Amino acid sequence: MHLWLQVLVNGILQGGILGISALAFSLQWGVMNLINLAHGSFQVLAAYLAVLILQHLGLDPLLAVPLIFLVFFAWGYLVQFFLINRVITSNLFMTLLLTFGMDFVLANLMILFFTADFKSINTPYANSSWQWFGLQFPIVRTLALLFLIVLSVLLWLFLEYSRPGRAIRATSMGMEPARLMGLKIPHVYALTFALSSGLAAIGGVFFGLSNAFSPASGGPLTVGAFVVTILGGAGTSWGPLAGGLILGVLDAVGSVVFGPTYVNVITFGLLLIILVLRPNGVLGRAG
Amino acid sequence: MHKSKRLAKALVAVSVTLTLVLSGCGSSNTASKDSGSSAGTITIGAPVAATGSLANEGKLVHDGYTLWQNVVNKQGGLLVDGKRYKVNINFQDDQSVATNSASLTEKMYTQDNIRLFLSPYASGNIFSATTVAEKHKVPMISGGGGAKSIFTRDYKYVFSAYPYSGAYLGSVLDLLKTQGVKTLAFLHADDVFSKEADQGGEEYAKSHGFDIVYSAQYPSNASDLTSQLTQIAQKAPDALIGTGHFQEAVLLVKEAKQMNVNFKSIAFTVGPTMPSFAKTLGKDAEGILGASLWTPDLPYKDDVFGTSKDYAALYKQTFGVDPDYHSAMASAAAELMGLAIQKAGSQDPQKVRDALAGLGTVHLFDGDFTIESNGSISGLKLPVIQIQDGKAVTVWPGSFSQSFKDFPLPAWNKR
Repeated sequence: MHLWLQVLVNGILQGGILGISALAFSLQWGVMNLINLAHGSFQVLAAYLAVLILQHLGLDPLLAVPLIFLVFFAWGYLVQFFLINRVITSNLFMTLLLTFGMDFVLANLMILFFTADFKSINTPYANSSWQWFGLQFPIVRTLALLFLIVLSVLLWLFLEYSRPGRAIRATSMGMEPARLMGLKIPHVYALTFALSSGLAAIGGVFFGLSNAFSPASGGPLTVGAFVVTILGGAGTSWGPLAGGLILGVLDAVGSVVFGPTYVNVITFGLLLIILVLRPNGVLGRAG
Repeated sequence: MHKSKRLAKALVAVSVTLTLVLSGCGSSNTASKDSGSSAGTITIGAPVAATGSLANEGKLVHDGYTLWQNVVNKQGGLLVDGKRYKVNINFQDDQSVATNSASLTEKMYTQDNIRLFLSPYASGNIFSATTVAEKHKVPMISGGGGAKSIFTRDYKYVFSAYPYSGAYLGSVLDLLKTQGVKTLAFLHADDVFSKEADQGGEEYAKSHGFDIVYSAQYPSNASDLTSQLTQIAQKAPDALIGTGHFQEAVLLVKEAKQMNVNFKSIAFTVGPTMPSFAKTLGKDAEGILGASLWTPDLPYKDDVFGTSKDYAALYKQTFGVDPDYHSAMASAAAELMGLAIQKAGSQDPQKVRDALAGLGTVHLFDGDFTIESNGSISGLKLPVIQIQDGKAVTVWPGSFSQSFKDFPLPAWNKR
């Protein structure tokens, strides 16, 4: 009994790590129809930034989250405004190509600046856990889930009630009508990408706290975000949370029942089922 | 609007240029241009990863090969049939992709006319590159991995400086045996090397009276193993043996601590031997064992590098960091190539291949071993290291065991 409860907890907490990574990916996909293949590298870069801040300023990564968010917000705005906006209205293939190229450049620049060595963000609490009712709650993973819930609420409030949030939603419903209503689409897109880059960076900090990473770690992160986004539905505030929890729990339980070898079979099997039965994700808008 | 368009074009141009420059970085030619009084240059091809997921180990192999090249050229070159030849290793970046290792080997053979090869890093990449070497009947020596499957294809042109992957864990288990460890949990990744190393380890454990209470395979790049650790905790084994990659070794230690799962001993095939392991984990790395292939403490020596300690000092002087076994094994593979060329008295690939097959037992700075008829090696005595005060200390074989400590490992919350 205890084993299964703990496995369930492990799955839910892993869902937090997966979901927080997918928050940005889902937003970009849902609003701009942009599948950002450089997503994982953005996150790894944020993890490196957290290491640098910890080493040089002595600032704890979780306290540095607002700063890291702002840096990536600004950078994301520029990248979208000057680069991705150029191709975003042409076919999907062009944006895939561009973000693939960005991923390549980013990964290699990181090798250049940080070497290919593995790093991890080391804080006293990174490997500690809270104990409740005889169950282990690793601090970083628990915080990731809490962050994910709070960020999902904030994102929902922002999209639902703020002016720029409404602009983003309007644009995602139809670019042409939104433009005719007087919205400056390039700025709305840049704002969306800026916001999602900031969110990606927060996910990256949690990834760096819970795993060892190198410049090549971006690929698996992008794939993970992709799966969670399809499960939860692109462009919804709650999709990443739902997708992350579903995937986390299924992987955890599945890896104990069938063995960890079959985790990928479970993940991608589920992906196929969802794509056939609910192509817009469990929380996705009706297509 | 026009202005921003132009700026955007410039940015695109910069990123494209960067991409081109960076991908061009892969193929570098690090030979000294100074040919001195030598009779010529012997070129050796090496499709080693400089980018991608194997970039880290690929760099270590690159540096291992390069160090041999530098030392040989400094000594005047290889003495072949009475004349001195400089060596030049032609590195090409396989981007960590196994099919690239093969196509680059093909390219170096057909376009660059290279006839002698050192292997890429990682068994999968070697497996793929050696098919091309065999097809063209040119020798390739593995300085980057030793999966058994490379040597069970009846190939005649493939040689190695690496022991079989299945032999890695033998020394660790011998050491644990002396400490009275009875029950073991095995966790391994699903790549060729990890599977073979684990299988070899489990067979060795069974035949040496250990009790295996848990064994599972996880997908490479796993980012969460907490549920496996929860299962293992229920069986309460004495020791955890992890066979995977660096990031998974770090992940297992982090998560074992997070889940408060304690062991009397923890050992990994890959991880603890690399300096970044102790750096990454801090005091949580203390006492953890690593299956190594070489350490600077080993009491061997040869004519090219001197003793193991000399090798380590030279490496540090050249590259600024302490050598890891990956580099030492790569240097040993390059050394084998040098030995064979000198013995053959020629750089003709067939003659070098025959010389390699006839080398028998060799004595290099990394140990004594015998070249088997299928190209693999046997007899190399493997050391075990333990992280002590952030450093990798040799604690096996035999006389080194007096420095072994931290048994049983202190509980995570007592560190």
